[in-house]
Amino acid sequence: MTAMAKAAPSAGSTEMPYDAEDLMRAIIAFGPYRAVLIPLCDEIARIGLGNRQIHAALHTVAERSGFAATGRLRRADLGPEAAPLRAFLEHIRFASPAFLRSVGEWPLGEARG
Amino acid sequence: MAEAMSCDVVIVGTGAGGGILAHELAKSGLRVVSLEQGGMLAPDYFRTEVPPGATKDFGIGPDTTWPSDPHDSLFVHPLFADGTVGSTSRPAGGFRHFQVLAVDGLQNLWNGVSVRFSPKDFRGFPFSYGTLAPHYSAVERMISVCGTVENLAELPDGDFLPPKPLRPADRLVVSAVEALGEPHSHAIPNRKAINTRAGTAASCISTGMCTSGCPVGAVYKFSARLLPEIVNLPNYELRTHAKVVRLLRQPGARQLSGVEYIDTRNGERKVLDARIVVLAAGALETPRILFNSADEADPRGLANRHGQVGLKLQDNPKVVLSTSLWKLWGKRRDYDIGYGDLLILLSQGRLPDGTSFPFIGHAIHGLADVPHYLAGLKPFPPFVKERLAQMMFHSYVTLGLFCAGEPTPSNRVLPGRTADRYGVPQVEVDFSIPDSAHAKMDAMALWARRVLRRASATSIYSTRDNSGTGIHYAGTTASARDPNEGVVDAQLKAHDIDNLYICDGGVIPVLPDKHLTLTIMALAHRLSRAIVRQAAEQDALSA
Ligand SMILES: Cc1cc2nc3c(=O)[nH]c(=O)nc-3n(C[C@H](O)[C@H](O)[C@H](O)COP(=O)(O)OP(=O)(O)OC[C@H]3O[C@@H](n4cnc5c(N)ncnc54)[C@H](O)[C@@H]3O)c2cc1C
Ligand code: SF4
Repeated sequence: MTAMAKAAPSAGSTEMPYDAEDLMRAIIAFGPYRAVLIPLCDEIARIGLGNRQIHAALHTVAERSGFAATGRLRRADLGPEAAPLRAFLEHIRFASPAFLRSVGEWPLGEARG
Repeated sequence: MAEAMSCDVVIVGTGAGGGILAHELAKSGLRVVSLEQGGMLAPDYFRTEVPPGATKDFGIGPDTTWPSDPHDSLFVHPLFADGTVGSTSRPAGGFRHFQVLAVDGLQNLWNGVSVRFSPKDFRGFPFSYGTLAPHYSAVERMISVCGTVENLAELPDGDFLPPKPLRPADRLVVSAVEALGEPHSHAIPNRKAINTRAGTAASCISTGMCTSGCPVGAVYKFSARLLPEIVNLPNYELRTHAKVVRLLRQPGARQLSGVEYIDTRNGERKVLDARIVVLAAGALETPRILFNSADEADPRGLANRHGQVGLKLQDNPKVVLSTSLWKLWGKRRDYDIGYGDLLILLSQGRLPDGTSFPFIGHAIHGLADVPHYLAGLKPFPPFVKERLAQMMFHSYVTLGLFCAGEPTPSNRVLPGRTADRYGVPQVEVDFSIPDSAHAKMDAMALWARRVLRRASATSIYSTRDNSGTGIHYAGTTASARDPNEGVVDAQLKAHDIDNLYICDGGVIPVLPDKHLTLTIMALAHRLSRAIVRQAAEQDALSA
């Protein structure tokens, strides 16, 4: 676990801090893109925490599941947050180096002339 | 020049109008200070801090949302000012006003489309196309616009660099427009303020889209092209983090003595004396400064004796339609992606009452590295989705079309009840979409569908808007001969104040369909000549 991934709960909350990287790994494991996304997990957790909507969704899921205490997550714990989290991960799958390489567009940020 | 207490000309803002003015006036030898609310972006800002597309963090920023509207991706850039610093408090559901408070203003993110208004477009102006034509030419050379000579009356030609070559997607769109068989419909190479010359340090490297900021400075903006030419002149100073809050004068006087501004780094209030003041702060901020300059003699704000400040806010109604062209399925890219939108589209729509109206737009085909297309693939299971996404990757085309705004007095900017984080009163916007704009958006969407279908469109995703997302703000300090019709005269001088000029989108009285920024810059070029003359006359008098 990286320090970056140790996510504090929302202000005023008495919840324990949870490990965002572990939580993200558990969420990714439910989805169809785990083979590509698990190796990117630390990066995905960092980006998720930096995004307002995903940050909030992670907190909600962590609180709902008691993830900080148990380290366990059931699919049902994702609740209404399942949809944005799935879309977030799918976005990363299709913007990933592996996918962009498969369409001949990796690396990015270079001349396309 | 060291921080001056006084100058000949103070220019508020370093955007489209402010940048050209600063360059021309500083070169003329006048003592010029540009006061700019924001700072200068780091030189590598668009290369490493916030690079385009999926280069960094898969294109996900703090404000990316899921599910998101693919056509909204343009509006979540971190450079856009929020309600704590902007001209408005940006209330939810209201007119969406976009500002970039930094050197170069909105031109940090603009798309560079640089088209001249046609002679007909000047019908509501107090001057003609002929008056502005030489200034269009001069600015085109200063900012280097690529394009082709087409001899179309509705889109006057200019002085162009060669454009980048059309791609298969463009050729499908060109054929589709030709197949309509309409003499008024055209698909021609785009005209953009881009350095397309090969081999210079700031040549376009074809990242495939310009609206996320140019990583190499190939798209024109003041700091990339003109500022380097004047920044070391002894008679020029760019003062950043200087937020102008009001104009100063003796109550009732027709002459300003200068401006008051806040140093946004420490909150200190300062005064800069000036012989001439130019407001180029944008079509919402300029009225705000005028309202906030109210004094006993003019309680409704300066330059507002006739109650015209803030009225007739306009933005272009627009429709955006995206699709995948099946004729491009399975194709790999063996062509230069260029600057994304290589085509300008021009046509006329027909309204239910039988009248017609012109519209303009562009055809965009960029890299789909940020997968906005996923919304369209929602019904498919992951395995199929992956195959489809690969097959369709180079097939996406978006048409964005704009029609004219409408100068409706009730659509307006007015003094607000909120203040920004510096305690400066903000403005509010009353804006409702005119019925005619709805009808025009219907007609444009219909035309775009016909074109896309002929180009082999599959499912089409369509959105429309006329509440700020055109980001072509105009009309709020209109130029008019009659002080009862506008705020500035044909020379852009305030009717009520003799040494105050305005030069941003606000002075455009009637917003045509065409992108307005080249016209703002041409107006700035023309205004610089008038200011040099006025300063010389003042000198002669005082001598
Ligand atoms: C994504 C995008 C794409 C676009 N594409 C095109 C296009 O292709 N073609 C086109 O014609 N137009 C386009 N536009 C619109 C174009 O960018 C604007 O019309 C134009 O830049 C407006 O210039 P301006 O100088 O009037 O205003 P601004 O760019 O808003 O400049 C105002 C300046 O004043 C500064 N300022 C504001 N308040 C104060 C204050 N109180 N004191 C001191 N300084 C202040 C700001 O920081 C800024 O530098 C686009 C805009 C965006 C965002
Ligand atoms: S396409 Fe060219 S001009 Fe546009 S941002 Fe990329 S490099 Fe700059």
